[in-house]
Amino acid sequence: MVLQKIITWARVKSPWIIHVNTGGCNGCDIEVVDVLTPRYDVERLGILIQGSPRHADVLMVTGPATQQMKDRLKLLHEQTPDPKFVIAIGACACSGGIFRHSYIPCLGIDTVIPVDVYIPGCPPKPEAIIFGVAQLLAKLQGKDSPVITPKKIALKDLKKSIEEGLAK
Amino acid sequence: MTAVWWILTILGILFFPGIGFCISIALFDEWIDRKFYAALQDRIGPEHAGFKGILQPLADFLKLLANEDIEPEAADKWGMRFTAIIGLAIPLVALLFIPIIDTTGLLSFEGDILLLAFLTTMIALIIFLAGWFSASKLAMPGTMRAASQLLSYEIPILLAMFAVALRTQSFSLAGIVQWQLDAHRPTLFSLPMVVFFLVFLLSSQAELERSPFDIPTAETEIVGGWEVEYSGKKLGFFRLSADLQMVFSAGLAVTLFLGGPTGVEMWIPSFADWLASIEGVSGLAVVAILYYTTMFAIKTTIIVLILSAFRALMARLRIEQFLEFSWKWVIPVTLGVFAITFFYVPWTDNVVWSHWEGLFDVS
Repeated sequence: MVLQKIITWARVKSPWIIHVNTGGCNGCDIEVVDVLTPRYDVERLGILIQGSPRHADVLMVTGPATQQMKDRLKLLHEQTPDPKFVIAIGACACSGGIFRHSYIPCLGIDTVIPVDVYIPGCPPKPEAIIFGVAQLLAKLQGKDSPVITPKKIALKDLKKSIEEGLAK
Repeated sequence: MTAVWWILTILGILFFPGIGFCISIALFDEWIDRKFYAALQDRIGPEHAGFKGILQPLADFLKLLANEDIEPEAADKWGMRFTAIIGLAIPLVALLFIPIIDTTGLLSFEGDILLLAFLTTMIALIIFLAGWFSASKLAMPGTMRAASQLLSYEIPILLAMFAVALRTQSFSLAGIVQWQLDAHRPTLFSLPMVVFFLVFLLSSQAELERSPFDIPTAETEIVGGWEVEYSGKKLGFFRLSADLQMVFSAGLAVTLFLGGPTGVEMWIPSFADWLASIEGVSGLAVVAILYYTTMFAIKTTIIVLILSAFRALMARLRIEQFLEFSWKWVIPVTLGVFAITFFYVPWTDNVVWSHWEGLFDVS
């Protein structure tokens, strides 16, 4: 039990991601790249982007899973070591989005591989993506939603910093 | 060789200053490296695992140990296992020779520099074999790059190590540390040794495959380099091995150029005498051990900070630019300075630099 607890802790603290585009319009991909910029800095949560699916734990999938990408997505999912998790980012990945009723059926990635967390939006904001990852980590810990303890902010300092910002 | 001596040595190899201590300081240095790298990029870095994210490398390692270990069908499975284990064992063995708790290492003999040179070359071979055994066409470019890069940067490292040996007239790390104590100055302040120090740091960076020399593992062009097929335990071993190599390189630089685990007693002879006098006393020996360990940790961390500043400030070279830089510039310059060291340093030290030595001569 103690060992299981330690493993769960380690898994929650270091989810390594690999980014897979299955034929989307690159809108969601730009947002995924935004998540890795210094402004959002997901390395705080231990998230690192990896080049190889063998090194990753979490597949961040964007795009509607086109006919060409279906087999390759399945292959990538099989190449990822267990335990693996899948996050569907954007309306296309969740349900097919605007490609749903096109002449080639693109019904979202959950027709190809099992999905753990859906993040809707076209494209979703970086905050939404981080919240989705936090949902996944909460799921790993056996909670319903990520517990967020708000930080206390001294109003005086905040007012002062805002005034200083306005003065500039 | 009494029973007590054997027990102490085995405990030393297993826990302090052996495997346990080296692994903890390797994980600590990875945290320092990542935090500093993040700070230079105006980020926060690891934050939520332990105090300020200090347990982040440990969490990564434990997670990799618990993950599934995939071995491709076409790969040489025993070869993969073998290289992962040997790749972890080599830096651990090499770290036993670095003086940490004393002016001599846990294992020490006359000529151990030659063994360390052999071990650093073995690391290059193991990396090549690791890529080769995984039998992946995606791993091959990284493997070939790693092989050419590591072989071309072995020579400056060896030259820097042997230049220090030449300067200090000693082929053991213990002798080098003792020479620096006797001369009241680190080797770095001998005339051409600054060049070798810079060359050593640069070559260590190439040896560790970190930017600007992270060509073998360039994650934006060739996915994961030679370790692309490794997952789970083996990847964890290789990552830990990289951290240990970083500590080993920093520790070797500290020992060769910055006086090893010694500190201010270099310039305060009475303090040095006191430290030597309490060595045999069982109660006070702990003080000396703590002092030496702290000094070693501080100096190693400074070297690691310099290495991560290199990593953050410079962009990646292409492989042919790198080889050109190595073979056309670094190796000839190092060889030239080596020749200067061989022929002129004894003379310049006696005539020109006796004044400089006099500055440090307090006895």
